[in-house]
Formats: sequence, C-alpha cells, structure tokens
Amino acid sequence: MLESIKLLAVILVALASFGVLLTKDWRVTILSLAIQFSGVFLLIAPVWPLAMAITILIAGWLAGVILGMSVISLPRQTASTRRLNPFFNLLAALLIYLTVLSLAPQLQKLLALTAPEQSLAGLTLIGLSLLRLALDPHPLTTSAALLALLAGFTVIFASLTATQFAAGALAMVILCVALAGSYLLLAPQMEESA
Amino acid sequence: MCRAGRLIFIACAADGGERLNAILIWVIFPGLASILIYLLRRREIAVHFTGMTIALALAALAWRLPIGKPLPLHLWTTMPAINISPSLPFLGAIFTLENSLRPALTIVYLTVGFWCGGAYAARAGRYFTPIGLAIAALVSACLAIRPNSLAALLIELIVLLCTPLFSPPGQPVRRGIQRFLTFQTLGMTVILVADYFLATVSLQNRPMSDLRLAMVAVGLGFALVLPVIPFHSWMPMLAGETNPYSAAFICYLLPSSVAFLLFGFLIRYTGTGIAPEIFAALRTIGALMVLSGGLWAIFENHLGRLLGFIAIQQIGANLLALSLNENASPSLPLMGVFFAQLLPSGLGMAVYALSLCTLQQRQSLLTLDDIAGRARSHPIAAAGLVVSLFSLAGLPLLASFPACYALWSALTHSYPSLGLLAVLGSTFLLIAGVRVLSALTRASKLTSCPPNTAWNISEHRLQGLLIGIGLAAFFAIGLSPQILIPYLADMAVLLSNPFP
Repeated sequence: MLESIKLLAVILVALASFGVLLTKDWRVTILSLAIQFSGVFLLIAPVWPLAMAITILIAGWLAGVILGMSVISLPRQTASTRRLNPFFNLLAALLIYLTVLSLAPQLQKLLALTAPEQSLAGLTLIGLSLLRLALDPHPLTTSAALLALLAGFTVIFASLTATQFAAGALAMVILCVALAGSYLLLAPQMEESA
Repeated sequence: MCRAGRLIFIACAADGGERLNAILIWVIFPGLASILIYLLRRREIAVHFTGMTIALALAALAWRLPIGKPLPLHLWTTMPAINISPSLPFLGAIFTLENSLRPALTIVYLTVGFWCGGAYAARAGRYFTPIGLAIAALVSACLAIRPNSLAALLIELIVLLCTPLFSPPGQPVRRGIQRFLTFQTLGMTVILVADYFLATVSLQNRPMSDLRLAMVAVGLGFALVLPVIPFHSWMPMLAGETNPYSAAFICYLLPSSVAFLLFGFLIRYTGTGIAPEIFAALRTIGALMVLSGGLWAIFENHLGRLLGFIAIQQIGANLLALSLNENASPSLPLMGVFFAQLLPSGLGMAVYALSLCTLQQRQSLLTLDDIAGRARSHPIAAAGLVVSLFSLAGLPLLASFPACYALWSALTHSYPSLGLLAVLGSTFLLIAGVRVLSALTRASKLTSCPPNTAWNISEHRLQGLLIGIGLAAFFAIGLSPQILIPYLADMAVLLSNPFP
C-alpha cells in the first residue's frame, strides 16, 4: 500500500512538473505547485513525523496562494509574458527525465536513501525546476521554479534529518520565497514611496 | 560600559538575575527591533539613526560583556552577579553564542551600524536599515546555530530578505536579482545535502573517492553561495542594476559571513585526511578570482558593475587568506590575515559605493563617459571613488595595504606563482582606478562638465562629511596599522579562546 502511494506521488510530481512546461497559464503554474507539494507530503510523511510533513504541505500550499493572489492583483497584460516552444520543452524535459533515471540509483546509494522513489521524485523536481529557471525569467516562473526546487530538496533532505528546526526553517524558506516572488511581481506597480 | 548595557543589566537583575541570554540580546532583540524600525519607515532619518544606534550599542555590548561568566555590578550591596547564559535550545537545534564569538559579533554589529550610518546619505531607501538589522540578527544566529550546517538555511533567509533592497518599489524587476535568488537557493540546498553526505562518509570509513566527492559537493555549494567563478555573474549584474550602496553592503556582508561559515567547515573536517587538497583548491580558486576580478575591472566601463568585480576580487582575497594554512585552526597566526582584511575591505567598498551614489544623484548613468569631468563638480566624491579603489588594490599608505602585504608575503613565501597572480590582480585593480581617475578629470563636451568648468563642491554636506571621514580613515589605518590591525588579526586567536 505504502509503495503504491509513493509511486503515485512520483507520478504526480513528474506530471505536475512537466505540465507546467507546456502552458503559460498562471493557474496551471499554481495548481502544479499545489500538486507538487501534495506529492512531497506523500513522500516525506513516512520518514518525518506527520506534524512536520503537514507543515511543509501547508507552507507549499500557502506559497501557491500567495503567488496566486499576487498574480490576480496584477494588471491583465503584465500577468504573464512567457513565450513557449512546446516541442523544445518536451525534448528538454525528456532529456532531464533520462538523466534523472540514470542518476537516481547513484544518489540513493550515496546518501543511503531508504526508498528509490525519494531520489526519483527529488531529482525530477530539481531537474525540471532548473530547466524552467533557465527558460523563463518572469518573476512568477522564477519563484514557482524555486519553490519546486525546494520541494525536490525537501524530499531528499527529509530522509537525511528529522530535526524540527530543519522542517520549520524549510517551511519558513518556502514561505519567504513565495513572499519574495510576490514582491517581485508587484514591486513595479507599487508606488515609490511605499 | 555603555548605558544600554547598564539598562539591560538592571532589567535582568530585577528579573532574578539568571534569565538573560546571549541569543536574546544579539539575535531576538535586533530581530524584533528591525520589525519596529520598519514600522517607522515613513520617517527615514529616524529609521536610519535608530538602526545605527541599536547596531552600535549591540556592538559595544559584544565588545564589553562577557558571556557565560559572572559579572558583579554592585549597584547595591545584595545585588547578585549577572550571568549571561550562552545557549538557547529551539526546536531541536541549539543556539550557542560562546564568549569566543564576541569579536565576531562585535564586527557584525559594527559593520551594520557603520553601513546604516551612511544609508541616508547614499539614498539607500527606507528598507535598508530594518533589513540591515534583521540581517545582523540572522548572521548572529548563523554563528550560534548547532549543527552548523543548518546555518545555510538562515543564510537563505538573509538572501530572501534582501529582495526589497535590490528591487525597490516602482522599478522594473531586473535579471540580476532573480539570478541572485536562484544561485543562492541552489547553493543552500547543495550545502545542506553535501554536509550530511560528508558527515556520513567521515563516520562510516567509506572509500577516499566518496570523501572526495563529498568535498567537491560541499565546495560546489559554497561556490554557488559565495559566489566563486563561474557562478559570479549575478554580482556585477546586481551591482550595475541597483543602488550601489545596497549592492555593496550585501556583496560585502554576505560573502564575509559565508566565508566565516566555510572557515567553520574547514575546521570541522580538517581531520578527514583530505584537507591539503581542499586548501590547494581554495588557493588556486582564490588566486584566479583575484586575477580575473582585477582583469574584468580594467575593461569594465560601468562603475556599478565595477563594484561587482571589486567584490569578486575581495572574495578571492578572503579565500586566499583562508587557504594560507595547510590545516585549518583558528589559533594559527596566518588565519589572522583573513580577519585583518575585513575592516579595510568593508571601508573601501562603503566609501566607493557612497561616492558612486553621490555621483548618481546628479546623473543616473554611471559609465566612464557619463562621469567624464565630474571631478570638477564633485571633487570629494571623485576623491572617494579613486582613493577607495586604490586602497582596495592595496596601494601603500592606504587602509588595505597592511593586510594585502601580509597576504602577499605569506603567499610568495610558500607559493610564489600564486603570490604573483594575487599581486597581478591587485595591479589590475590599480589600473582600473587610474582609468576612473582619468575619466573623472578629463573634460568632456558630452556631459554637464564641459572644458574650463570651474571647480566647486556640489556634494550634499552630509555626503561630503561622510566621504571625508572615510578618506581620513583610509590614511589613518594605512599610516598607523599598529593601532587596529593587530586587534583584527588577533581575532583568529580569540576565537579559540573561551575568555578573550
């Protein structure tokens, strides 16, 4: 049962990370963020105490809400400026999936991770978020990609330590990344005397 | 002892005498103060003045108050001795500010107080001081946290706090800030995972190849955060796109704090048997950064971006100073060079940035062509720019020379080729300074300073005063290094001693 939940989480994370590469709709970005953090929760809940895992889940969802509220506050024409080439993105994502598949067993061995799903999901999130960071300089994409990067890191880090402070500080960092992203989205529209 | 210190003692004594904690004084209090100061942000002068006063008071307390040692005050006969406890457990981590960390705390708060003092003159914005004070609190928490690797998470919080400094309200978001956030976040994740990997490898007697891989991973994490070439691109971008004073503050404080963290890592993993290789790598990277920073500085036409290359060169010099010893230990005298570099380097960057801000207020563009002939209209700012560049290059009789001389001597004694590269890098920065001097003094028909313009002082009184004090400090430290440099150099020894 646990194995199938973990597998489901990996598939969720992979699909959500991939879906965001194919569209420029901000709603998909926020939704994928929520799905990614749900997947992260399913993967870290077996290794961390439930309260700590829920902290990360709530922080991730809250981050999505913060970014979503900021995009809603923007004038319509500035909400997204992305230009996509889905074919290129598809090829790049496939290359990253292949790299992840070859690297995941090595990472699992090096860090002594308990489950292969952790390294697989963690590396997928990190790899695809790096791709998004490289492709699109829009503040929304940057902050969403950084959040995905942190989500991937959390999956790997959770099996290395179970310190409460680490979980709390990670949740804080996730929220601060969302706040920084929200600020970057809204700052050009703010008055200089704010 | 300063007045603020007495007030805290009295409050503590009234509360039973045992409840005062070092974390409360140097982490929680400045953190709360930064929030309160933020609420005052409409009154900009009050914000900067209050922030500077608090930072300097905390620096004075760090200088004078012993931690973990009874301190009899004898305000009345039955008054118990005050004891500041060094530790505070929090969510499974332990924050410990030992007495040996007091010099580091003094430097952190002195630096923040010093930079807050110039923030108003530099028009750094109303967010500068609250964020500066919060950064000081987080840097103190970084020094205190055990296990040390969790400090990477706090460094990431510092990075995220900087966002409003680099992207002020009402201005478009530039790429430099996004790249800065990306590299720092990536670096934080790599450091945390690599540290765990390194600890596992060290404990489990794994093969040497695994140990090497772990060290490379740790090195990669620090390279991303510091930043080390080739991850440095955000630094000149950021320095060229934002207020030079804010950029200089972060480009100085963040790498210095991270270098200190790296210093802790080096001490921790000295016994792994791979230390000589790490120090050799640090030396080579440091020398290359000093050289390439200087080389880029020669060809850079934008004075803001030039600040980024100066910062890269200073980081290189820090790495060189850290690598002087084959085995890291805080008590080794050569480690003193690292600490001796901190103050002159900070002074140089602050005066350079303040001078740049002064010039920027009249003309927003900061290329060499745009500032042509500005020495006639802004002689003090022009002098500040040139002298700070010369000082940072290590010109004799200026502030950085004693530390640079010590570094070059130690390098050429043991590694002549790297010493030559370091001297060459500084020479390149000197040439960049001569280029700036030439641009500032040449007449130009394109700018507001055509030929035959009369010399006059156009700087604001406060700007002129602060740059003037900075210029005097360059010569004072350079001409009498025996007053200040030994104290800074001794910090390396003090750090290993519980009661300096």
